[in-house]
Amino acid sequence: MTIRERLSKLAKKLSWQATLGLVVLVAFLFVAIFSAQLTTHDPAEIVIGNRMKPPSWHERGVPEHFLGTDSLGRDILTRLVFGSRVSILVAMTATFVAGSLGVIIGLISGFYGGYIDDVLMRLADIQAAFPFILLAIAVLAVLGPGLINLILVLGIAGWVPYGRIVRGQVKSLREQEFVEAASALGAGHFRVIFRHILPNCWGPVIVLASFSAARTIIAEASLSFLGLGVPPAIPSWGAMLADGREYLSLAPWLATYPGFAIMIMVLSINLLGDWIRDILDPRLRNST
Amino acid sequence: MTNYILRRLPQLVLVLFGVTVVSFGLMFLSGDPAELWLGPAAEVMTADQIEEWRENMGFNRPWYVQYVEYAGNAVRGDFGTSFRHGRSAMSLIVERMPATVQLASLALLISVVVGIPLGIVAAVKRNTPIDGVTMLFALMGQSMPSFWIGIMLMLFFGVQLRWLPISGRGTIQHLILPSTTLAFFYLAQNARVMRSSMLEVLGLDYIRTARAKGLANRAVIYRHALKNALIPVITLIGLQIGAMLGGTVIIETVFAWPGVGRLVVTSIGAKDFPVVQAGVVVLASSFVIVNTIVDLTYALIDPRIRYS
Repeated sequence: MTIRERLSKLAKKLSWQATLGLVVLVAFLFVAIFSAQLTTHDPAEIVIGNRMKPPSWHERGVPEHFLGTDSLGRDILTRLVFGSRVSILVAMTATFVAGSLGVIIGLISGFYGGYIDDVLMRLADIQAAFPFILLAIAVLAVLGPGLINLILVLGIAGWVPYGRIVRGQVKSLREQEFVEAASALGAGHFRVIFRHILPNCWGPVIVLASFSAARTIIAEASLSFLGLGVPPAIPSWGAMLADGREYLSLAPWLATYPGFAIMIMVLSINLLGDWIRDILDPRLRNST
Repeated sequence: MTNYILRRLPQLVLVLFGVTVVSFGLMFLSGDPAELWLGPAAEVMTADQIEEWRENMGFNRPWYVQYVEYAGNAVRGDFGTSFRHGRSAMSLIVERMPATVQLASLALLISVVVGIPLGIVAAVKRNTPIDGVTMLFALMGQSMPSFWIGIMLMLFFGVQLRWLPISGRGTIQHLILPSTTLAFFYLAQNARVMRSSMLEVLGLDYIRTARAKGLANRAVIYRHALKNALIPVITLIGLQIGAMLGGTVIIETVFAWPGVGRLVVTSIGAKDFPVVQAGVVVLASSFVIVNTIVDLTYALIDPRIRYS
């Protein structure tokens, strides 16, 4: 089957939930890419005289600021639109870092076995001993906040599930005849691993990646909320929420909209993820 | 069983060793100890004085010597003195521990007592609006950042209705919002897993037999299906106990709950590293120990685990 046929076959199987998730995600991606074209304000433009305007449908609201302004008079809708960039960028890159690291470690661990496997899996145990968010907080506290650090920390903190699942797959695959046949025909380790074993591991990795992308978005927001995420100059949903928490009784809308944005994005990923899991790996249905 | 425990214990020790390595590494990465410990005082000291201070504090020794000393002290619960409070870092953490445990245990209780029945109802009423609404609720619960749920609950029950206090600790009322917030994600997770596990069990042959015998639906579900359907949920709950300890870090910050998590976060801001280290080691160790106890309990209940 060509890739095109496969894709069209997949598209026919899309549930309405997955379609909804996909459409919303594509919309978010569009908004993130064209943030500058879609907004009329500058996300960093501070107008103190305009601070904490409520959304435009309130009696004190102004039409130029549809969702109101924050404590420094910046337009909330504009910042929400630009904030989607950080969420998407961090989710994609950190998931990629975690996935690549985990897949490579899992391949090595599963293929070579023996003491290499022991060492790598004990490392996984040690890392899994730290609650994900606590590890991220501790490392960011030391390295200092910043976009690159955030991506690296979330990526490195997230490799363990990929490593474990790929290792398990490799262990069973390497006993199979087609792998033995490839080795017998003189294929080197590298070729066996990447040409014969890896292509058979993608299913669970993709399922895991979809859920960990959702988790990464929440983790990024949580860290930005604690002030350990991207620098304050870059609009991010988590940091907007932290700002909103300070003015909860004065300006409740500040904390409301960024949370909605996070929820809708994560919900869409989860809807799509549920469907991917059911298609690729129904056995995982009972794991979370 | 003894065999299983003997196999598990070295693993526990190894992981705890790893925890101390990581927390020591954090300190090492955090930069020049002279700058950190002396603070502004370092600026008025001469280079010789700073060098002498390093010598006295032992920072000139190789890292592995420093690590052995650190680990030795850590085992005895000594992480040094807090820069900020001038007291033993460990005693500060121990003082805050009951607040964190209280928060996490109530959250666990809520997530189990509410999540499991929701999952059962959704499975039994499969493909009805009840199922749809419950699962939408659960999916949303898994998609909202916990701190936002907390803020929204504060806004509604604290600021608008003025029913509950929005921060601090003291009365039972103070506990309601933070524990509900912490419970939310896990409650949703329990409901979803309970539902799918129940559906799986309800499709098995022995359930068909039970129905064929003419048993009432209630009896089939609660007496026959539930016990088996609970197995994956119990596994999940075991994992959640540990995860909640980590989750408290954020919730405690949102609600100004005086627990270990909040202390760690404020200490990070103040660069009070002995307290950060003590907090990280205590939280991670409790996580590991809780998980080991959970594993041992399974092995006790389910002999298949012992022999695999």
